Amino acid sequence: MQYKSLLHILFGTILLAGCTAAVPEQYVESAVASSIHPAYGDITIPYNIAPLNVAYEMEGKAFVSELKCGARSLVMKGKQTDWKLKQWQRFLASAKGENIEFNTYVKTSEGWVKYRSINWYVAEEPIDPYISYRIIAPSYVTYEELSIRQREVGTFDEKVVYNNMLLSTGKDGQCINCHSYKNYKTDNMQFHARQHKGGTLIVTTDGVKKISLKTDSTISAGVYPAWHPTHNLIAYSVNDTGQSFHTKKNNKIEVQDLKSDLILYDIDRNEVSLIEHDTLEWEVFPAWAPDGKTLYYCSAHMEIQDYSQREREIIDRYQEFQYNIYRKSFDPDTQTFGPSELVLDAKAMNKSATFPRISPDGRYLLFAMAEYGCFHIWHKDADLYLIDLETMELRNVKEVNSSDVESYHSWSSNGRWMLFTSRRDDGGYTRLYIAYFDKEGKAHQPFLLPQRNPYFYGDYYKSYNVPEFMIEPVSITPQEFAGYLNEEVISAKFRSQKGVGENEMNKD
Amino acid sequence: MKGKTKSQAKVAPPAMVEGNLLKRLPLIAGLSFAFVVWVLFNVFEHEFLFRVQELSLWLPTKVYFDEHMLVPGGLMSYIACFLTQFFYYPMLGSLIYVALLLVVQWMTMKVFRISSRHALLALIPSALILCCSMEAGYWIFQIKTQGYFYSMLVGFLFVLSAIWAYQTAKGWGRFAVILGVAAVGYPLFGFYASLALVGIALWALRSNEERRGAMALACVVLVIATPILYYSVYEQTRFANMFTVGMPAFTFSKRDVFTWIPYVLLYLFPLVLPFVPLKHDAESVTKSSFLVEVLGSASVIVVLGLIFWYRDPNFRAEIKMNHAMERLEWRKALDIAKAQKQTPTRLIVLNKNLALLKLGRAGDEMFHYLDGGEAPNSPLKIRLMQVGGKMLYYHYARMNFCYRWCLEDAVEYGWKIDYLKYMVRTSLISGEPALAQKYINTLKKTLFYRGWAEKYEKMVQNPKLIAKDREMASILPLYQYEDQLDGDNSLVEIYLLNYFAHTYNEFSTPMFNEAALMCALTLKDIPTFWQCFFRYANSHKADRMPTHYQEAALLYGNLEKGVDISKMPFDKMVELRFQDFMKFAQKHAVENVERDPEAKKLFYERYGNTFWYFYFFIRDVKSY
Repeated sequence: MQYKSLLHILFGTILLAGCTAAVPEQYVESAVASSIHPAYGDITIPYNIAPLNVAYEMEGKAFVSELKCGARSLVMKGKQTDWKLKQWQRFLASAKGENIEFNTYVKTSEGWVKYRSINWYVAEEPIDPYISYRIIAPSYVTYEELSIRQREVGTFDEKVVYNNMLLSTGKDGQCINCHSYKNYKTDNMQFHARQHKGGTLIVTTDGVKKISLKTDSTISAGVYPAWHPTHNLIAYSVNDTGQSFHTKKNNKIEVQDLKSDLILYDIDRNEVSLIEHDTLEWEVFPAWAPDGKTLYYCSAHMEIQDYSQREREIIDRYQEFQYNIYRKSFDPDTQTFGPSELVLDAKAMNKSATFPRISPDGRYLLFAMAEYGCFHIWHKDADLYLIDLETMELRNVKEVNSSDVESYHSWSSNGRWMLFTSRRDDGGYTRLYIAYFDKEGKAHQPFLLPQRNPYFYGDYYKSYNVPEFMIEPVSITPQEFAGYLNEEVISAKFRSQKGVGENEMNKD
Repeated sequence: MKGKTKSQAKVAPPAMVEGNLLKRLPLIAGLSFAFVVWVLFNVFEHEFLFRVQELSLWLPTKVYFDEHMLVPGGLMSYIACFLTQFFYYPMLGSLIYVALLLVVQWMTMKVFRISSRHALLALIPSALILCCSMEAGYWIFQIKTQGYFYSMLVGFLFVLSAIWAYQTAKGWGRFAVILGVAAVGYPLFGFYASLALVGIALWALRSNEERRGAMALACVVLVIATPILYYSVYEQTRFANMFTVGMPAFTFSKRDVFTWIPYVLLYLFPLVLPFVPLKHDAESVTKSSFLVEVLGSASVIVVLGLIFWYRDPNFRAEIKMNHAMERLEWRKALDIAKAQKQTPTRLIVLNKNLALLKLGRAGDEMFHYLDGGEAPNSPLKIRLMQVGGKMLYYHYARMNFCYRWCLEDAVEYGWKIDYLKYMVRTSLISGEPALAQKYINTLKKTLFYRGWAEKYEKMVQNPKLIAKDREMASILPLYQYEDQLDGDNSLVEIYLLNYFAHTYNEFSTPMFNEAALMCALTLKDIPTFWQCFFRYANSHKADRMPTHYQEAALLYGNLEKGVDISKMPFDKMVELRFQDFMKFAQKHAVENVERDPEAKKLFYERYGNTFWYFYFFIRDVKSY
């Protein structure tokens, strides 16, 4: 009986200890910040972000974490934080426009030590509630399992939008890529499936169709998409892509376009027409201005010297492919484009610019730039750059860049948040980073997309790519998408457009 | 004899089996079987078992567990991978394996109420499981089933456990077991839950329980309905695969029919056994019928083993060489190559050449071994890249290619210890310490590779240790080259031959020049040979010119007069032997001499250890 009572007391004590985390009353202050993983520093966060859980990478007998904002605080014990979602959400919502101190208390043999506070500023503006991305192993030729997933940014909930294994067989693999939405809403969206049961799934309010965008007059099916913000139109690049491998460089691979053009797909008419078709130009990465009256894109100019060895020459001269940014005016009603206008002469800077993205207010052009080429996700020197379209001032967004790759990037619908991929963690796997972009056009220190387990990314052997913001989740289930992809493909028709693709030299 | 009739006195009663023997038979048979398997494993297959665990991975992390659970049958593969890692110590791993085979035997007897007399028959499922594991051969490089070696064993144990749980339950409890097998068993064990349900249905039908019809019907409905219902839950499994998920990832094509046989036999076992009357009174067992049954069952087990146990000498040699080379035991690798009695695969030849290069003996010995290009003995399309290419790329300092193929194969066939180890080392040499640390962190979480990982972690912290490491120090002389864009089309040997033979730059080291010359000899390209020969000679001025290089120079100098060899200081012995070879060749000249088996044999006996024999008689070699 006594033994049982002792157990009850012990159990009760343990339970009580687990529930009553409190900041130690006596401690010594340290001038250094605690060593945490992920290494969240002094950052700006949205009030609707999931808990930023951390693990302490330091020795100690006990750990107490405290979030403090004015008189309010949240406290928990343990070597890893796992903030309760509701408490965290309430706490952040009450801290809008204020600074949160993240305090760490570590018990050592000499007593408690309080480390220097880390400051998390809670922005007034929310981040879009959902993001989507493709999960892919950073391999080169093989891909096996790929999925497009959506994540609720305010929680840790992640759902599969579509997984290629729903249709892939051992022999017939299916690649999926380039999910894209119209105006951040998912009732108009698209993604491509290649090889087995291939086609572009186009979701509109009228339903879902599987379209083949390859016509006899275009290089390929659609590749990089850009939904027109107001009309049922999608601009695509069409690309004949090849890849070769570095024998020594850490970039590992070069993905090059052997040919590329731009096309416009009219969803209502199921028609494809050419936007740009110059065989001396490698046009790619279309992006609409928010008003839909300008199309931005990148293009590299290259004159092939020996057409009999065209492909070899393109590979050998890979460093000469440097992409500039151009734009064209567009009339959505007549679907006519104006002449090309140079926006950024990156080549003149011995650089190559890719993935132009215009901020929702139309003022800023964000893009990735490296020394050469168009596939910056494998270029260690790739960084994000910004052009203020009012002043045309160009600058390196040093606030967010690292010594490793920064590439694919998106603007939140309110223009206050940037989402981009980076290989900064380990050099091999792309992770998603979020950065605040303030009204003065300054980006703030980015932070890693939080996961419940702080060590998740270390154990995870897949990359995140093509991150896109959404204001609502995709409601079609993966199995339903598989059903649509199982259907017969509908071929798009080609519509020739006067003035495009005519009287061109050096046709190959 | 008192009281016996006349006829009784004439006909002796049949000899009966002793009761004690019958009681102990399951134990005797089981232990004998386990002992034989354990001995066979440790005498003949310990290197294979070690390789099996190298080509697997188990991690005690949530991410790893969650990834297994993304498909039905996830727990089965998780447990299978967990058990596989113990083959790191083949004696321990095989002990666990045979112990589980004994559990299968014991449960088979218990579940199917098999009397002691039929104990050997109850060993047949264990024997079939063994066949499933040991028929693998080259499949270990290509199978996409995680924890392949153990998956059948774990799955079958679940089937037996489910049927046993049904038998043990009473009344509606049996219905609960059926529902549990479907609702919980299917996500955890996939197809094996369906197999268990069919087994339960047949067992129920055979029984005389009141609700047997309803129970059997429930099982059949759940076998069909469970995968359909779970289709909306699992987001990365094809609808058709929902019914087979958990079975080994062989194709249903003609190529894999043979591989399926032990599986199908095993699947049939729990379905057929309920209808086989195997319960006998021990006292009624005659010695003769007992002997027939024991010998019959034992013969079946032996025949199964003989048919399905993969025993290809080249495969074994490749596995052994790989292990020796991984431990930098280059001499041992050469001993294994030397012991080969049949035409080797290209991997054996390439491994042998690498070992000779490392030991600095290539110029004198590279043609002292059997040469050729026997195709791997497998119905699979084997790529050298999968079976040994990564090691070759690593040791020939093609770091990006080694890393690339580790990643490509990891994506296609799953992450493996083998790949992670190369990714650590290539990342270190390529100057990517953060990437190396990521893989080191993973290896540190394994049960048996923590020490290995910690050794390389020191190099992350102090890169100067890289050049001091014995293994890496022998690779760095080949790492002196400039970057270029290239591709190997997954043909390792062709790529390496052409790369080394046709590459030269100001940084080329003596070791690089030797590798180049070896490749030029293999290519049998005379202009390339001379280029490489002179580079080699220039970088080895102080050294004696090895025999094979002299042999090639003599032969090429005589075949084509483009290079004046008259002033070259050939060894007297080499010159005399070459003259002898020429005379011998003239004497035995026949049409198509290089393809004449008799001539080949004749020349091999006399000149089989020369470049001349290689040049004329090793032909039509196909790399893969």
